[in-house]
Amino acid sequence: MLLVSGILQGIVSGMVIAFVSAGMTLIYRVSHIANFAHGSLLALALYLTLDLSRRFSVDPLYLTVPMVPIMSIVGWTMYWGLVRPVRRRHHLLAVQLLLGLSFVVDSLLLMRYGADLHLVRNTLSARFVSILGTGFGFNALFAWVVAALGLSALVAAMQFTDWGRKFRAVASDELAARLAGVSVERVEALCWMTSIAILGLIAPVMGSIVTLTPDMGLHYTVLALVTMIVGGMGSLVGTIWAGVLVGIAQSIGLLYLPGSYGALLPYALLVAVLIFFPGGIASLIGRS
Amino acid sequence: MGAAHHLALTAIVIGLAAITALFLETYWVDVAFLVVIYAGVASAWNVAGGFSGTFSFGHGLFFGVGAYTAAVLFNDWGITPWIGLVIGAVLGAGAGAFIAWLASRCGIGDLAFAVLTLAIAEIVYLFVDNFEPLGASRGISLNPATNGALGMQFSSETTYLAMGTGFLVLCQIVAWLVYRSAMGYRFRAVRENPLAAEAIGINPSRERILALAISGALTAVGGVVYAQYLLFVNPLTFFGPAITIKVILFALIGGMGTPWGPVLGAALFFPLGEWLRAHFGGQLPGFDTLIYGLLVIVTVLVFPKGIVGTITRRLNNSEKRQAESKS
Repeated sequence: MLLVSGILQGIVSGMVIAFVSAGMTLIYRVSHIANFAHGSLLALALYLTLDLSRRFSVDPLYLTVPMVPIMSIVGWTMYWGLVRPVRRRHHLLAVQLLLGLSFVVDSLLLMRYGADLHLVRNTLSARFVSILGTGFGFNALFAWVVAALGLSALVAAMQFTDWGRKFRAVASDELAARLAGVSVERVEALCWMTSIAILGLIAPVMGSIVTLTPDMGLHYTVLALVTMIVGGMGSLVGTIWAGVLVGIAQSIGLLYLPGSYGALLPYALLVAVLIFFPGGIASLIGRS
Repeated sequence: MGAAHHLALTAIVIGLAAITALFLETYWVDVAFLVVIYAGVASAWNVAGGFSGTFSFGHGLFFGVGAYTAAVLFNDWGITPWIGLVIGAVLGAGAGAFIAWLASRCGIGDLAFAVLTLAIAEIVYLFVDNFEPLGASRGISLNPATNGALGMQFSSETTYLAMGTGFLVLCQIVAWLVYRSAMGYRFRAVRENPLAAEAIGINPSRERILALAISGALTAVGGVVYAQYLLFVNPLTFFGPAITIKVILFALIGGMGTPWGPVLGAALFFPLGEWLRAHFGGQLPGFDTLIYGLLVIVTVLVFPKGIVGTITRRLNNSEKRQAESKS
């Protein structure tokens, strides 16, 4: 029974991880850059939600409405201001730049909000439901729903919309896409916008299920990187499966391993996947 | 860069360390000690990451392996850290070789390799952090040595600075020997184009294993020296991700792939970070790292090939132009 509830909890939290990592995957696919500021930008979105909900005393859940455009602008500015100038150069240069940005974001958060722990409460907080003998907070389930819907929309958009076709064209052969009249820069900028906007979409719900600290960014960056690589570097569907696997690894580790040994299970998962299936989950399900 | 050039730079490093030790306050001797340690480890990282394109994001692992090996050998077996240092270096080399071998079996790209090293380092970090026989997250305090010099425990900061400088000089000698040797050329061939390197008979996996082994051994030595300075080892300081991130930034800022770039990066940016922290850290937490982050961003945009890399390139270009205008 413990195992079942561990897996269920993993699936619920894993979908959120997958949604956050999906942005990382999209960026990697078109720009071939690992966004080392991803976690810090998530932290930024979480703190902004906290700030706005306190300032205007509104329920954080409504803040999705302003947060998505705000984070889109952040993503768009990041692309044109920082990423575009270095994108043709060595990929470590972008890593360095984005690490620098994550330092800046983390320190701004520390300066503005202090080192105290925060939790963003909303109307769904403190309400629970039991599924198969496992207790879930309403917020965790709601986050799962948002993430699952968001991911489905993303996969569908990739497959069926004009944006998705352009995106896939740039991802698979940039030069050919350019020759066919696709504005590669605009597609890339749009991709950065979407990926960062995802953080704005999930942050208002996520704020009530995770504790906010100014240095949480790096942890989420690493988690998203692990998920992306387990998923097969650039496959959206692979990332979804990987997110769920990472989530399950986390909750199983928490339940079964003593102390905080459990925290190393997601990393062990990554090492195992790279050794046995270097192509990640994408190679198993035949997607790329 | 010729041998004379290299010797002159080494002499400058030793001279600066000596001036700091003789004329400046203890605070700056402490800072100088950390600079030489970080510079040495950044240089060690550079042997793998800069020379051969083997980007490790898990150098804390080697640092911790060295520190813990020497600490455990000394505390539990009474073996002097001078021998512990050698054993630590061997274990560091072994760990580096193993990770590179594992990665070569998977046949993965640069980013996956970097995250693989990060994951392995994180696994070891979390393991040591929970492992009671090694003191878990509390760490291990080194027993006081009866004979200071034999136990590598000194009463004055200056002696530590001298030892740290010795470590940096060791790293620079190794880095320079590698850089100039046939091995260095093979490393660069693998970095620039693994397929082409393979076509001319170089085995990329073998070169990467070698590069990470050398790098791991040097980093482990740095860990031993730092542990003797603190007289204490704990998982966060030695195995944690902070040291890895710092070292990579120093190497990139100074100039990855050049033997002296990482040293310059550490020598400029570490004291800067300390100064910022000392001046602003108290009243306004976060401001120092904010400035630091902004400086990192600006440096990347102004010196895309690192400070040393970009400047040598400009100099070479202007020399070429002069030569062309003369002829």
